[in-house]
Amino acid sequence: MDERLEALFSQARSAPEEPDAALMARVLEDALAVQAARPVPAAERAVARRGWGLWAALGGWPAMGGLATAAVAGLWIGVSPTLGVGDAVNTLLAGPADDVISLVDASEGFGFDLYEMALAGEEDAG
Amino acid sequence: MSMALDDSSDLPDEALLTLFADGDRQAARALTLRFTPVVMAHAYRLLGDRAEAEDVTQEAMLRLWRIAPDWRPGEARVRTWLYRVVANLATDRLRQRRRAGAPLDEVAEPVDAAAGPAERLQDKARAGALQAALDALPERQRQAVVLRHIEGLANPEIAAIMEIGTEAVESLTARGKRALGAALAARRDALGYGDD
Repeated sequence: MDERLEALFSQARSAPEEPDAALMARVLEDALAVQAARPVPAAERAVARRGWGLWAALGGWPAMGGLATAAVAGLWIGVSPTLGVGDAVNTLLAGPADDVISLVDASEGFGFDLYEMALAGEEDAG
Repeated sequence: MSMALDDSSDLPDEALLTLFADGDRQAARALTLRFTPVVMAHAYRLLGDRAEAEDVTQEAMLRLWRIAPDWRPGEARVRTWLYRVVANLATDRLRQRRRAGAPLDEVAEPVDAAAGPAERLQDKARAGALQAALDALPERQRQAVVLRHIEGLANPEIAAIMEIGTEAVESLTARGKRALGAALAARRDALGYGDD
Protein backbone atom coordinates (compact mmCIF):
# COMPACT_ATOMS: atom_id res chain seq x y z
CA MET A 1 0.00 0.00 0.00
CA ASP A 2 2.99 2.31 0.52
CA GLU A 3 3.49 2.75 -3.21
CA ARG A 4 -0.16 3.52 -3.68
CA LEU A 5 0.01 6.00 -0.86
CA GLU A 6 3.03 7.67 -2.40
CA ALA A 7 1.16 7.88 -5.70
CA LEU A 8 -1.73 9.57 -3.93
CA PHE A 9 0.60 12.04 -2.26
CA SER A 10 2.18 12.79 -5.62
CA GLN A 11 -1.22 13.31 -7.19
CA ALA A 12 -2.17 15.65 -4.33
CA ARG A 13 1.06 17.63 -4.79
CA SER A 14 0.39 18.10 -8.48
CA ALA A 15 -3.20 19.23 -7.96
CA PRO A 16 -3.22 21.62 -5.02
CA GLU A 17 -6.42 23.40 -4.09
CA GLU A 18 -5.99 26.78 -5.76
CA PRO A 19 -7.34 30.15 -4.69
CA ASP A 20 -9.80 31.67 -7.11
CA ALA A 21 -9.65 35.24 -8.38
CA ALA A 22 -12.14 36.45 -5.79
CA LEU A 23 -9.97 35.22 -2.91
CA MET A 24 -6.83 36.70 -4.46
CA ALA A 25 -8.64 40.01 -4.83
CA ARG A 26 -9.77 39.93 -1.19
CA VAL A 27 -6.26 39.17 0.02
CA LEU A 28 -4.76 41.98 -2.06
CA GLU A 29 -7.50 44.35 -0.92
CA ASP A 30 -6.57 43.58 2.69
CA ALA A 31 -2.91 44.19 1.90
CA LEU A 32 -3.55 47.59 0.36
CA ALA A 33 -5.92 48.53 3.18
CA VAL A 34 -3.26 47.70 5.78
CA GLN A 35 -0.75 49.78 3.82
CA ALA A 36 -3.21 52.68 3.57
CA ALA A 37 -3.88 52.53 7.30
CA ARG A 38 -0.22 53.32 7.89
CA PRO A 39 -0.04 56.91 6.54
CA VAL A 40 3.70 57.35 6.90
CA PRO A 41 5.88 54.40 5.90
CA ALA A 42 8.66 53.49 8.30
CA ALA A 43 11.47 54.63 6.00
CA GLU A 44 9.95 58.06 5.45
CA ARG A 45 9.24 58.35 9.15
CA ALA A 46 12.92 57.73 9.90
CA VAL A 47 13.95 60.47 7.48
CA ALA A 48 11.36 62.80 8.98
CA ARG A 49 12.63 62.07 12.46
CA ARG A 50 16.17 63.02 11.45
CA GLY A 51 15.02 66.30 9.88
CA TRP A 52 12.64 67.46 12.54
CA GLY A 53 14.40 66.15 15.61
CA LEU A 54 16.35 69.41 16.10
CA TRP A 55 13.20 71.44 15.52
CA ALA A 56 11.35 69.46 18.20
CA ALA A 57 14.33 69.64 20.56
CA LEU A 58 14.30 73.44 20.28
CA GLY A 59 10.68 73.53 21.36
CA GLY A 60 8.86 73.67 18.03
CA TRP A 61 6.76 76.66 16.97
CA PRO A 62 6.25 78.25 20.46
CA ALA A 63 9.97 78.46 21.06
CA MET A 64 10.53 79.69 17.53
CA GLY A 65 8.13 82.62 18.19
CA GLY A 66 10.32 83.93 21.00
CA LEU A 67 13.46 83.31 19.01
CA ALA A 68 12.07 85.28 16.07
CA THR A 69 11.23 88.24 18.31
CA ALA A 70 14.73 88.26 19.76
CA ALA A 71 16.25 88.04 16.29
CA VAL A 72 14.23 91.02 15.00
CA ALA A 73 15.16 93.06 18.08
CA GLY A 74 18.84 92.25 17.60
CA LEU A 75 18.62 93.21 13.94
CA TRP A 76 17.02 96.57 14.87
CA ILE A 77 19.71 97.34 17.42
CA GLY A 78 22.37 96.35 14.92
CA VAL A 79 21.18 98.57 12.07
CA SER A 80 20.54 101.71 14.26
CA PRO A 81 23.66 102.05 16.43
CA THR A 82 23.59 105.92 16.42
CA LEU A 83 20.19 106.26 18.03
CA GLY A 84 19.36 106.61 21.75
CA VAL A 85 22.02 105.21 24.04
CA GLY A 86 24.56 105.43 21.23
CA ASP A 87 24.50 109.29 21.32
CA ALA A 88 25.30 109.50 25.01
CA VAL A 89 28.06 106.93 24.76
CA ASN A 90 29.65 108.76 21.82
CA THR A 91 29.57 112.05 23.71
CA LEU A 92 31.12 110.47 26.78
CA LEU A 93 33.95 108.95 24.82
CA ALA A 94 34.64 111.87 22.49
CA GLY A 95 33.84 115.07 24.45
CA PRO A 96 35.84 117.04 27.11
CA ALA A 97 35.61 115.95 30.74
CA ASP A 98 33.36 118.82 31.94
CA ASP A 99 30.80 117.92 29.32
CA VAL A 100 30.09 114.84 31.42
CA ILE A 101 28.40 117.08 33.99
CA SER A 102 26.23 118.61 31.31
CA LEU A 103 24.81 115.20 30.63
CA VAL A 104 23.11 115.34 34.02
CA ASP A 105 20.34 117.93 34.13
CA ALA A 106 20.49 118.98 37.75
CA SER A 107 17.82 121.59 37.29
CA GLU A 108 15.01 119.07 37.30
CA GLY A 109 16.41 116.35 39.49
CA PHE A 110 17.64 115.42 42.90
CA GLY A 111 15.31 117.94 44.58
CA PHE A 112 17.99 120.67 44.64
CA ASP A 113 15.54 123.33 43.43
CA LEU A 114 13.04 122.54 46.19
CA TYR A 115 15.82 122.62 48.81
CA GLU A 116 17.01 126.03 47.60
CA MET A 117 13.45 127.41 47.55
CA ALA A 118 12.97 126.27 51.13
CA LEU A 119 16.22 127.95 52.24
CA ALA A 120 15.15 131.23 50.53
CA GLY A 121 11.82 131.11 52.30
CA GLU A 122 13.45 130.73 55.72
CA GLU A 123 15.74 133.69 55.00
CA ASP A 124 12.75 135.82 53.94
CA ALA A 125 10.84 134.91 57.09
CA GLY A 126 13.83 135.55 59.32
CA MET B 1 -6.88 32.12 -11.56
CA SER B 2 -7.08 34.87 -14.09
CA MET B 3 -6.08 37.80 -11.93
CA ALA B 4 -4.12 40.36 -13.91
CA LEU B 5 -1.16 40.58 -11.62
CA ASP B 6 2.48 40.38 -12.48
CA ASP B 7 4.58 38.17 -10.24
CA SER B 8 7.81 39.06 -11.99
CA SER B 9 9.61 39.96 -8.81
CA ASP B 10 12.55 37.74 -8.02
CA LEU B 11 13.20 39.42 -4.71
CA PRO B 12 13.56 37.24 -1.63
CA ASP B 13 10.52 36.95 0.62
CA GLU B 14 11.90 39.15 3.37
CA ALA B 15 12.95 41.89 0.98
CA LEU B 16 9.44 41.98 -0.44
CA LEU B 17 8.03 42.11 3.07
CA THR B 18 10.24 45.10 3.88
CA LEU B 19 9.10 46.86 0.71
CA PHE B 20 5.51 46.07 1.60
CA ALA B 21 5.95 47.61 5.04
CA ASP B 22 7.29 50.73 3.35
CA GLY B 23 4.09 51.07 1.35
CA ASP B 24 5.20 49.46 -1.92
CA ARG B 25 2.03 48.33 -3.69
CA GLN B 26 3.90 46.13 -6.17
CA ALA B 27 5.36 44.22 -3.22
CA ALA B 28 1.82 43.70 -1.92
CA ARG B 29 0.87 42.19 -5.25
CA ALA B 30 3.97 40.01 -5.48
CA LEU B 31 3.50 38.66 -1.95
CA THR B 32 -0.18 38.00 -2.61
CA LEU B 33 0.66 35.99 -5.71
CA ARG B 34 3.54 34.18 -4.08
CA PHE B 35 1.94 33.07 -0.85
CA THR B 36 -1.84 32.96 -1.23
CA PRO B 37 -1.74 29.72 -3.29
CA VAL B 38 0.66 28.11 -0.79
CA VAL B 39 -1.51 29.07 2.15
CA MET B 40 -4.73 28.06 0.43
CA ALA B 41 -3.43 24.61 -0.54
CA HIS B 42 -2.19 23.95 2.98
CA ALA B 43 -5.34 25.25 4.65
CA TYR B 44 -7.47 23.04 2.45
CA ARG B 45 -5.37 19.97 3.27
CA LEU B 46 -5.76 20.63 6.98
CA LEU B 47 -9.46 21.49 6.88
CA GLY B 48 -10.88 19.52 3.96
CA ASP B 49 -13.34 22.32 3.32
CA ARG B 50 -12.89 24.96 0.67
CA ALA B 51 -14.94 27.74 2.22
CA GLU B 52 -13.20 27.38 5.55
CA ALA B 53 -9.83 27.14 3.85
CA GLU B 54 -10.53 30.42 2.05
CA ASP B 55 -11.41 32.14 5.32
CA VAL B 56 -8.26 30.83 6.97
CA THR B 57 -6.18 31.90 3.96
CA GLN B 58 -7.47 35.45 4.07
CA GLU B 59 -6.93 35.65 7.83
CA ALA B 60 -3.40 34.20 7.66
CA MET B 61 -2.42 36.65 4.93
CA LEU B 62 -3.96 39.52 6.89
CA ARG B 63 -1.74 38.58 9.81
CA LEU B 64 1.24 38.66 7.50
CA TRP B 65 0.33 42.17 6.31
CA ARG B 66 -0.01 43.34 9.87
CA ILE B 67 3.23 41.87 11.14
CA ALA B 68 5.27 43.10 8.16
CA PRO B 69 6.52 46.33 9.83
CA ASP B 70 7.73 44.34 12.85
CA TRP B 71 9.19 41.42 10.90
CA ARG B 72 12.62 40.54 12.22
CA PRO B 73 14.86 39.38 9.38
CA GLY B 74 16.49 36.01 9.82
CA GLU B 75 14.29 34.92 12.69
CA ALA B 76 11.91 32.78 10.64
CA ARG B 77 11.20 32.11 7.02
CA VAL B 78 8.00 33.73 5.79
CA ARG B 79 6.68 30.42 4.51
CA THR B 80 7.44 28.66 7.80
CA TRP B 81 5.68 31.43 9.70
CA LEU B 82 2.63 31.19 7.45
CA TYR B 83 2.39 27.41 7.81
CA ARG B 84 2.39 27.87 11.57
CA VAL B 85 -0.32 30.53 11.43
CA VAL B 86 -2.44 28.34 9.14
CA ALA B 87 -2.07 25.39 11.50
CA ASN B 88 -3.19 27.48 14.48
CA LEU B 89 -6.15 28.93 12.61
CA ALA B 90 -7.13 25.49 11.31
CA THR B 91 -6.96 24.05 14.82
CA ASP B 92 -9.33 26.78 16.02
CA ARG B 93 -11.70 26.00 13.17
CA LEU B 94 -11.65 22.29 13.89
CA ARG B 95 -12.40 22.93 17.56
CA GLN B 96 -15.33 25.15 16.61
CA ARG B 97 -16.50 22.42 14.28
CA ARG B 98 -16.33 19.82 17.03
CA ARG B 99 -18.18 22.09 19.45
CA ALA B 100 -20.87 22.63 16.84
CA GLY B 101 -21.13 18.86 16.52
CA ALA B 102 -20.57 18.68 12.77
CA PRO B 103 -20.15 15.04 11.74
CA LEU B 104 -16.70 14.46 10.27
CA ASP B 105 -17.98 12.47 7.33
CA GLU B 106 -20.11 15.33 6.09
CA VAL B 107 -17.26 17.78 5.92
CA ALA B 108 -14.65 15.30 4.76
CA GLU B 109 -16.25 14.02 1.59
CA PRO B 110 -15.38 16.21 -1.35
CA VAL B 111 -18.06 17.18 -3.83
CA ASP B 112 -17.50 15.91 -7.34
CA ALA B 113 -19.96 17.67 -9.58
CA ALA B 114 -17.94 17.42 -12.77
CA ALA B 115 -18.59 14.59 -15.18
CA GLY B 116 -15.65 13.30 -17.22
CA PRO B 117 -13.72 10.29 -18.42
CA ALA B 118 -13.67 7.27 -16.14
CA GLU B 119 -9.97 7.67 -15.36
CA ARG B 120 -10.44 11.26 -14.28
CA LEU B 121 -13.33 10.27 -12.10
CA GLN B 122 -11.18 7.63 -10.47
CA ASP B 123 -8.45 10.20 -9.83
CA LYS B 124 -11.00 12.45 -8.22
CA ALA B 125 -12.29 9.57 -6.14
CA ARG B 126 -8.77 8.76 -4.98
CA ALA B 127 -8.00 12.38 -4.20
CA GLY B 128 -11.23 12.56 -2.26
CA ALA B 129 -10.41 9.37 -0.41
CA LEU B 130 -6.99 10.70 0.54
CA GLN B 131 -8.49 13.92 1.85
CA ALA B 132 -11.12 12.00 3.78
CA ALA B 133 -8.44 9.79 5.30
CA LEU B 134 -6.37 12.84 6.19
CA ASP B 135 -9.35 14.49 7.81
CA ALA B 136 -9.83 11.42 9.98
CA LEU B 137 -6.29 11.63 11.39
CA PRO B 138 -5.54 13.34 14.70
CA GLU B 139 -4.66 16.98 13.99
CA ARG B 140 -0.94 16.80 14.70
CA GLN B 141 -0.50 13.64 12.63
CA ARG B 142 -2.41 15.21 9.78
CA GLN B 143 -0.31 18.36 9.92
CA ALA B 144 2.95 16.42 9.98
CA VAL B 145 1.92 14.10 7.13
CA VAL B 146 0.69 16.99 4.96
CA LEU B 147 3.84 19.04 5.54
CA ARG B 148 6.12 16.06 4.89
CA HIS B 149 4.43 14.20 2.07
CA ILE B 150 2.30 16.78 0.27
CA GLU B 151 4.09 20.08 0.89
CA GLY B 152 7.39 18.20 0.63
CA LEU B 153 9.16 19.91 3.52
CA ALA B 154 12.15 18.49 5.33
CA ASN B 155 11.80 17.33 8.91
CA PRO B 156 13.78 20.24 10.48
CA GLU B 157 11.46 22.79 8.86
CA ILE B 158 8.40 20.79 9.93
CA ALA B 159 9.85 20.69 13.45
CA ALA B 160 10.20 24.49 13.37
CA ILE B 161 6.63 24.93 12.13
CA MET B 162 5.16 22.56 14.71
CA GLU B 163 7.57 23.68 17.43
CA ILE B 164 8.61 20.14 18.27
CA GLY B 165 11.75 18.05 17.79
CA THR B 166 12.57 16.20 14.58
CA GLU B 167 12.12 12.84 16.31
CA ALA B 168 8.58 13.82 17.21
CA VAL B 169 8.01 14.77 13.58
CA GLU B 170 9.22 11.36 12.43
CA SER B 171 6.97 9.65 14.93
CA LEU B 172 3.92 11.66 13.90
CA THR B 173 4.47 11.12 10.17
CA ALA B 174 5.08 7.39 10.64
CA ARG B 175 1.89 6.92 12.68
CA GLY B 176 -0.05 9.13 10.29
CA LYS B 177 1.08 7.17 7.26
CA ARG B 178 0.16 3.88 8.88
CA ALA B 179 -3.32 5.17 9.67
CA LEU B 180 -3.74 6.51 6.14
CA GLY B 181 -2.61 3.22 4.66
CA ALA B 182 -5.12 1.33 6.76
CA ALA B 183 -7.96 3.70 5.87
CA LEU B 184 -7.23 3.51 2.17
CA ALA B 185 -6.76 -0.26 2.21
CA ALA B 186 -10.27 -0.54 3.55
CA ARG B 187 -11.54 1.24 0.44
CA ARG B 188 -9.20 -0.30 -2.11
CA ASP B 189 -12.00 -1.82 -4.21
CA ALA B 190 -13.83 1.47 -4.49
CA LEU B 191 -10.59 3.19 -5.45
CA GLY B 192 -9.67 0.74 -8.18
CA TYR B 193 -7.04 -1.09 -6.14
CA GLY B 194 -9.01 -4.31 -6.15
CA ASP B 195 -6.18 -6.38 -7.67
CA ASP B 196 -4.10 -6.22 -4.43
